[in-house]
Amino acid sequence: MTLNVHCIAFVASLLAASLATAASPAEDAIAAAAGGSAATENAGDALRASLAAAKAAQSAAALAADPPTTRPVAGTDSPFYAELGSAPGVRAIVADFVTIMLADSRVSATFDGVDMDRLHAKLAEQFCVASGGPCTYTGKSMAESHEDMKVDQRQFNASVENLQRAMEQQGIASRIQNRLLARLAPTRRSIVTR
Amino acid sequence: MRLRSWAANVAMFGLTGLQAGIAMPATGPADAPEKPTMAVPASQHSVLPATAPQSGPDMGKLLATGGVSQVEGAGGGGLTPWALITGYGTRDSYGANVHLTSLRTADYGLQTAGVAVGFADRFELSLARQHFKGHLAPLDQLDLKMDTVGIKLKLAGDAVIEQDRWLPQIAAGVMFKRTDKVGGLGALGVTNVMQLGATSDHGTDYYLSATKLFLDQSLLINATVRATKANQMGLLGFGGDRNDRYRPMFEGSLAYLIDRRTVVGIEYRMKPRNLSVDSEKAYRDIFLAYFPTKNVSLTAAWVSLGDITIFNPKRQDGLYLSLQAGF
Repeated sequence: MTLNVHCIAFVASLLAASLATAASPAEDAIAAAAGGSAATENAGDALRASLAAAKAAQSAAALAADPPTTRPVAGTDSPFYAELGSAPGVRAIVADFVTIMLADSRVSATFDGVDMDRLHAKLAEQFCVASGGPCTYTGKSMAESHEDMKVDQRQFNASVENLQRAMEQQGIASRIQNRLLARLAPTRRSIVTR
Repeated sequence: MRLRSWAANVAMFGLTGLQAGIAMPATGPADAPEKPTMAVPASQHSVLPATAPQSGPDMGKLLATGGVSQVEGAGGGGLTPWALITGYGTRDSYGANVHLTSLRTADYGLQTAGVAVGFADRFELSLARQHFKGHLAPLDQLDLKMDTVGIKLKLAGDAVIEQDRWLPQIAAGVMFKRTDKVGGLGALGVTNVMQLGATSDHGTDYYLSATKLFLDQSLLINATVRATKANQMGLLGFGGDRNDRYRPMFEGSLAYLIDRRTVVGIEYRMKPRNLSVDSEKAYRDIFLAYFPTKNVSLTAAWVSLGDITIFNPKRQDGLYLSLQAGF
């Protein structure tokens, strides 16, 4: 039993390592963009160009790593996004979700040193995109943002429970909750590395 | 409701639990949202490993995703085994539970008590004892007992998480069954199911289950194919004068998640017809399962068993109640 758990942990760490390697094209793109723009005469232009390239590369990498949750959808609010309360509703869900996570001893330690304002913003983007809202996910890929946290299945599922609780607090109907969970559930493959 | 016999069963399993050293962990923060654990200051976490090793049961699976206990003791719906592994242990841990089920139709009663353990969300072991009694003369003394040892191995998929794939969770299982001596038919000189036409008093069922949760629709679908020779699940023995070969039988469940604690659904279980004295019919039910916490679930169902013997051609419908407790 213990041996089995160790084997699983070992395989998971190998997977985590390969995911980390897969994320590196974003950094390559940043380096390439910076190198290419060195030819331009204006240093300010070069900086702006490289920042833009870096942002685009990060976005692309995030999309490649987690297509189901990070596909940008243009246009007006989808009915699904509206059922979550559109932007204010999603903000409120995220606020409750983060509060519940920080009070949950199973997962709270994984938020040490995390920029909370940024976390709120990126979660809101992620939920917006997942529900077909008019947003673009600009954060890191799920694999990248969780690679050092050594999240196990119990912790991932704890987060699911906490999101359910947050949506319950916000009065979101169960079938709508499940629709959002359906879109987020496959991220477990990228998030759980232990 | 025979409370005394229920109490005896509870006591028996309480004792078994103690002997096996099973300590049921109290429901943790997962089920006590009203009382969140006090947030530890960040300065204190940094000295703790972010990932404390799990030694005990982790109760890490989502509510209801271990299913309930089906009538032969395996994790599943009420009548049919599902591909889900019983209990709340993730792949890093284990889970276990005990259950008591009572089914009372117009003329018969069936009680099942059992214990089941899920290891690493991969392998399941279950033990169950069924007790079938007649309540209408001349079969009012009828008393049939059967023990079932079940094993189940998850082969592929994850019913809950893989929402972007069609692949269901798939598991293969085996149920080893043995009937006890027949009671209540002594006047006819019948003490063994083989005297009722069965070719054996023990037998083995083999099944393959596929279970998929369609979260987008809040639906759960299960399909099971079982190769069996069992008459009335085995209570009337295995094989018979009409047929003595294994045949594949289809079983299905369709459930709707009303909310994360409540599931409503229907089930169907096809059965062979091997005995000329038993015009065996498919079982069906409509059920409501309630999971107040990960430590306990309650299932109520209205079940149709069909007519059990040619001597009493009345369709047997009745209330099914099942209580599961565990972690």
